[in-house]
Amino acid sequence: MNKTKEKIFKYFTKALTYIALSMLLFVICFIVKEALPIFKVVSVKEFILGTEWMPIDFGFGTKYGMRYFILGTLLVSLIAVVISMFISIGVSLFLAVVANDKVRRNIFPVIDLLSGIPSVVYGFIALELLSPIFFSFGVKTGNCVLLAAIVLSIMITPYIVSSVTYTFVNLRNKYMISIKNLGIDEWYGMTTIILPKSVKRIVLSLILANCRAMGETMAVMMVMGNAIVLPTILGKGESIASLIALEMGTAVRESNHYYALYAAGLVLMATVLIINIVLHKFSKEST
Amino acid sequence: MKTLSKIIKFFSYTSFILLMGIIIFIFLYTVYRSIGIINFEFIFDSPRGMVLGEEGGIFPAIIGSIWFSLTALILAFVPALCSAIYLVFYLKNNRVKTFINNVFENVAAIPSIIFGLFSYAVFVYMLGFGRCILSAGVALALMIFPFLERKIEKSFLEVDKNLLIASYNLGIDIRRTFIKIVLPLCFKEIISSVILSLLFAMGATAPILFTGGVAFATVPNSLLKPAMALPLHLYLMIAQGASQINRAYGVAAVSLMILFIFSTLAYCFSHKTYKKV
Repeated sequence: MNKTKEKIFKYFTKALTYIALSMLLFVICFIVKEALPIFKVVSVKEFILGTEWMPIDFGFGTKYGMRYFILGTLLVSLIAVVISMFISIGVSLFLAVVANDKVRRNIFPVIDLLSGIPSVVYGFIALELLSPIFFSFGVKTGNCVLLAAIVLSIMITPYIVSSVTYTFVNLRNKYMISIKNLGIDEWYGMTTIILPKSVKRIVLSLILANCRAMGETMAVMMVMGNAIVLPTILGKGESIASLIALEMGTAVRESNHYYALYAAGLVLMATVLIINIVLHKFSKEST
Repeated sequence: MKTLSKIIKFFSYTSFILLMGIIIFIFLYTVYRSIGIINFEFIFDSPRGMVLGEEGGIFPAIIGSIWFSLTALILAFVPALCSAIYLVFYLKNNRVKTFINNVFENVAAIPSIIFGLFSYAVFVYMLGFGRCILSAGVALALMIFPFLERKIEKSFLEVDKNLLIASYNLGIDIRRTFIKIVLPLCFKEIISSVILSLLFAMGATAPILFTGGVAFATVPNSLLKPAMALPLHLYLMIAQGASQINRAYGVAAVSLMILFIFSTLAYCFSHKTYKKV
């Protein structure tokens, strides 16, 4: 009796695992499938490098060029990661040096609150409080790439902090006795010995955070201005995710516009997946 | 040497205080601005007004958010639990294990809007469900599945291996070992992951934007109907230029309060387990 139950249990869990696995793989394949028809209309090169995006024909023909969206996504996520890098390393140093285990255990859930705040709330607060500041400095309407990047940087900070702190604490436990015995100041040892040793890990977590930032939709969409122009730091821009969110509702199903938006999704997904797969390989080799 | 440590020390303290300040500010400021807005009517009435939400309340949005996230949780929880059990206790082939783990890990990085796109094409159109809670729930379920699975798997892996070996050696099969030993040890951790994934689903707007979230709906009574959601309601209020900005703060404050209460709950659960081990 128990043997049968054990077997049922085993095959039930096995079946669900494979169902879930195939569902996830199906999502990836399906996005690819829905994206492919657009490449009959434009070439891959034109789609990625083209500068004009005219999905609806007003008599001038249609154009599907993603360049500005791709640049916008990269620019906003890179600035966000750079800003967040400073805050995160500072906070991680604090958590590794000043805080003990107990304090860390209590601080992490507080920092994690940041990753739980709905992105719309971030966008809303940024629009309300930061946008007027940018406006007073002469940015038209106050919405720009830098503002979106600042918002994003706060959103991704918890992810970077948790992994960087983990690295710092591990290395600190390993080296701090020697550092103290040599009479080196704790902070000095932290910066000259432990920080250089964790550069690799920090870079890895920054790239992962960058992936998250690229896919963030709502907050970026609300404060980045959404104009199809060459994005500059204080100018408007539009990210791939915002493009999809803004235009999907109006795209006629199975039109070229619709396929082009799926292809935009494919570009975003493929970028994130490739970076992730490469990173996982790399991080396994380094450990 | 002294100067460098001083600079770093200053920098580290500043960034910590800055981050904590941002967190406290976001919560307190939002709540402060919504004082006088949040009352019985605001919570329990339907939205009204020229721009929807300028008058009335947000009851359908709160209930809608709960429907969306519960649907997602119900769809994702059993597969996530089973996958974790299978990967940790049954699957012996390391290659297959690494492959499945890699897929889950990488899918976790896929932007949430992609799941929205998927559900839009498959559930809204191909399967003909239309824009409804179920279609959006599927998108959210796909989004939280890897998150939930990782967390549950991690809690299983933290169980003392000697306990498992002892149990197996007594001739107890994996199913009973799991139910009698692993589950009681990990129960609180699992509850905490469930709460966190509920919050994750509740805060997501991109996947439900064109799969089931709408500007106005009554309190839902079926999975096959569209519904309102809190963050989406907030977004639409701003996008349509609502003049009553304090009411928008009210919506934001309600979502933040839900987040705060449930995060605290999740923390209490995981904290106790942590202490015990």
